[in-house]
Amino acid sequence: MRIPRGFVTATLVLVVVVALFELFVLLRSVAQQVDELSDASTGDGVWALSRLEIDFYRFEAALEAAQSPETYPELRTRFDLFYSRVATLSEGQLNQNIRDHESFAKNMATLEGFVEMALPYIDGNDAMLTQELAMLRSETERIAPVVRRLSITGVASSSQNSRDLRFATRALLVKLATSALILICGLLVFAVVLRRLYLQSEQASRSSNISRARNEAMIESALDGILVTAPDGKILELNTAAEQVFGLNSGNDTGLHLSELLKGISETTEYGSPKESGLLDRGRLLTTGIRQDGSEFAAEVTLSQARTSQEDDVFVAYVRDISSILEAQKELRDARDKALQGEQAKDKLLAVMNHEIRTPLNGILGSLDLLKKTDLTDAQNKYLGAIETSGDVLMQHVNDVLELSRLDSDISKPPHEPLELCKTIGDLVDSQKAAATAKGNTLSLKLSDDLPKTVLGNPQALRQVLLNLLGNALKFNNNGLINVDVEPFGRDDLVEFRVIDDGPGIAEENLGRLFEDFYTVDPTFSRTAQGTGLGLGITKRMVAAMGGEIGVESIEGEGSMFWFRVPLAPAPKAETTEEVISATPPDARGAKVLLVEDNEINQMITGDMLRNSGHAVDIAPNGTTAIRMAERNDYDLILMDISMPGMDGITAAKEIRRALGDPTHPPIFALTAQSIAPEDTKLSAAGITAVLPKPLTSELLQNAVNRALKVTAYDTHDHSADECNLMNPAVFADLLTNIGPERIQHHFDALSTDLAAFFEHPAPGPEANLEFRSQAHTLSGAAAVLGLCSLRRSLAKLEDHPDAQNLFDQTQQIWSESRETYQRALDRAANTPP
Amino acid sequence: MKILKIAALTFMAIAPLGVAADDLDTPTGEVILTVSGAITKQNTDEAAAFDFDMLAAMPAESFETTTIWTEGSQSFTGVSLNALLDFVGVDGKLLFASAINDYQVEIPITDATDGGPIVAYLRNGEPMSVRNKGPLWIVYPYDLNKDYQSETIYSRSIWQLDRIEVVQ
Repeated sequence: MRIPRGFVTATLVLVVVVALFELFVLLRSVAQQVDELSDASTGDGVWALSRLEIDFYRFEAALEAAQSPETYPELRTRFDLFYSRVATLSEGQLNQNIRDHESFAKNMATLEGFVEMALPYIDGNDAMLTQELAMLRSETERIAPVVRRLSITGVASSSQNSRDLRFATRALLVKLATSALILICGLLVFAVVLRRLYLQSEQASRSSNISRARNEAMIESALDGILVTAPDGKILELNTAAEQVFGLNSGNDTGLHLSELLKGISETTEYGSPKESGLLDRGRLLTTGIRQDGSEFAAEVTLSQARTSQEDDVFVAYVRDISSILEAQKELRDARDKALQGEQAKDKLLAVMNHEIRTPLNGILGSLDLLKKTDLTDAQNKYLGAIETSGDVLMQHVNDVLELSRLDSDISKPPHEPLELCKTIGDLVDSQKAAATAKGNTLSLKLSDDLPKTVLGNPQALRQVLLNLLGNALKFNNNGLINVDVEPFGRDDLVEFRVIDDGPGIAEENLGRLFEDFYTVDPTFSRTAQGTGLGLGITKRMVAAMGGEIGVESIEGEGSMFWFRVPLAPAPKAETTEEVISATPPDARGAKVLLVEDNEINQMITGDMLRNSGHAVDIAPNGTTAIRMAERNDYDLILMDISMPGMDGITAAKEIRRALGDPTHPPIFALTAQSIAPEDTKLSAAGITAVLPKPLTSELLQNAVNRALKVTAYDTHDHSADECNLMNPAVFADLLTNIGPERIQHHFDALSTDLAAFFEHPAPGPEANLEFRSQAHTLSGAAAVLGLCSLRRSLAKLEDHPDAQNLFDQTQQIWSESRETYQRALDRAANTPP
Repeated sequence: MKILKIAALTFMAIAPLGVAADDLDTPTGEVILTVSGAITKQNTDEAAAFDFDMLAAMPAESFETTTIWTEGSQSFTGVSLNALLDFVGVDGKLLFASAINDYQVEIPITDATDGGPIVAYLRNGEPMSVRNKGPLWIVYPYDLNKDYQSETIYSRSIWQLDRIEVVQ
């Protein structure tokens, strides 16, 4: 328990004061007692009684001496004195305690009786006194023992009294001693407490000294300058750092004012109190410091007011010279600016590559394409092949670099669209089979059954990534096994792709750098494969753009496994896969095409490619001409260059749509060499149907035309076919009119038989056999004649993708449904008179 | 008693006329007080003798007080000791006061002050006989001044006074 120090002190003071008071009172009592003793007040009684005895004997003596009347006055005086003494003893207070003595009253009464008896004779005349003298003498003699006894009574009572007094004195002295003892004890305790308080204060002062020393050391060793000023701004204290910052001599700094060292908030030195400087309680501020030699420096300052209990409030300023920091910041800024300039230069270079390299390269490759179709000697063909290969490689490099910059700028997020996962992967692997075989590699694909059929994703990017990995595997392996495994990975719709080979593998020290740009494991001239070293860098970026990750595991000499995982969410059921551009055989029909192109070489090349494929081509050199021509002619397709001087392609497309009043016909395909394609919304808003990347090849062009014709057919001529549900009623009605239900039934039965046979054999798998495809083709044609549109479409797809098991199953399903519907329609027609 | 008081007052009134400043009358009645020793005025060979009338002729002073020797409050009238000593012109420090029975006490002259002890000749308005501690009694005003309620003062209160000797 802790008792407040004040309480202890107050209690002690109280004890001492009370003890002192008590002592004082006792001392007074003792003084009185001593007075009493010295005065011998009770002795008075003894004295009075002894005086009584004396007066008695004197009276007795006078009585003895009384012989004649001349001695009578003396006798009378003696009697009077004796009488007076007796009277005094009778009435006085002083002798109360003596009077209390048992025999006193009796003896006193006897004495009084004697005096009263004698009184008349003494007061009487001389003659009578003379006559009675003898009687008085005998009476006096008789009373003498009584007087004697009274006197003794006095002595006895006196001794009793003095004993009482002694006891009282003794008690008083004991009390005095006790009080003194208490006082001494109190004073001792007081002394002890005082000593303790002294020690405590000593300790407190010591620790306060230590803490002050620590604080001083802290302030002294601080790297920031610390200034302490009085409320009027006069410097009171400063540390070594402050002296260094301001270039002050040690000890020479008294009397300085804060405004002589630091400029205020508006660069003013005209302020008195630090409050007026505007720096107070504002956090870290940048201002100007002034050194003793007058030079200035950039200072970071914190000014605050410290409230101390002892003195007036002082101000504390922390000052840091930040000139060098600012310098460093400036250097960094300059470096960043330079770097940005470099970046801009790179952008410029890319733009140059974009326009100034790709365009002539386009010309070269296009011309080669055309040149191939002319009559050439074998030697010419060989040289042409060499030029073409080199051109392709060059174009690939340029594309790689552009792709890289496009991915870096990340302007266009890969679009999400429904895609048939298994088919997409299967097609891609198939397309690489030839290349694999060429180097003696065996390529196999393993698709997990748990993969969703249709997913949402970017087919272009997915294909590109897989192709890059597969291409690498093929490039670096000879006579080996290459497996592509695809399966769902965990939850979250992740799909993992693995490309595994048993090739040379990659050394461990190279694994980490594999995905860096321009990195090639073998940088020598004799390297086994060509490449910019950008392939995996691009691949990594593309995977990242799809929200996935990529990695590699490899053991040197045993093989490598490249894997990537990307989120591919199952597509909602309603959406169906769009027709993929595929290498369908050229349509027999010649189309009428308008080519809008400002570059004359491209006009010639692209025009010739189309003409060679049997299409009619009109050429418009600019947007304005294009609009006019589109108004006058009904084109099957318009190929529109996007970047043209004057009116650009997008504007021209918009104008054509407006002029013709048809949002879809004719299809307008944009041609662009720009790696960064304008946003899709902008294109589709302008009425552009699709985008064809430059450089154009004959094949690409033919596909485009085919697509355009198909779109046109759906949109204009056979709109119902698009929405046909199992069977086309128009075709069916036409058949009924021309050949009648019986013939239809005949054809239908034949088809049923053929289909049954067709479905009996399972889908042939990856090794598409020609017979299967031709059967599918024939059946598709038959279905078309009967107006079984769904079945026809499905069979046509099957013809293109004979290995797709799900398509096979789907076709079977469609057939069973179509069959029922068709039979019901036939029955109804047969029972109805024409 | 009243008559005596009036008489006393009459004496007081005529005293300044009857007593010359430097003279000391010769006592005509029985001498009841003799002042001797270091005094400047005498009317006998070596002392100043007073009879009752001479004392009564001097300025009288009276007070009421109780004493330890009597019962009840008592009225005392007499000459202030201070005035008496002034009258005889003392030049000393100590008085030896003696009673008829030769009892003697010492009284320091400093006791003789205004408002201090008187040489009483009347008690309750009447002259005191020897049997009643008379004819003269040095009485202090015990009740008026607490300092006078001490053994020392009690012992100095001498009754049946008949002589005072002034010593240096």
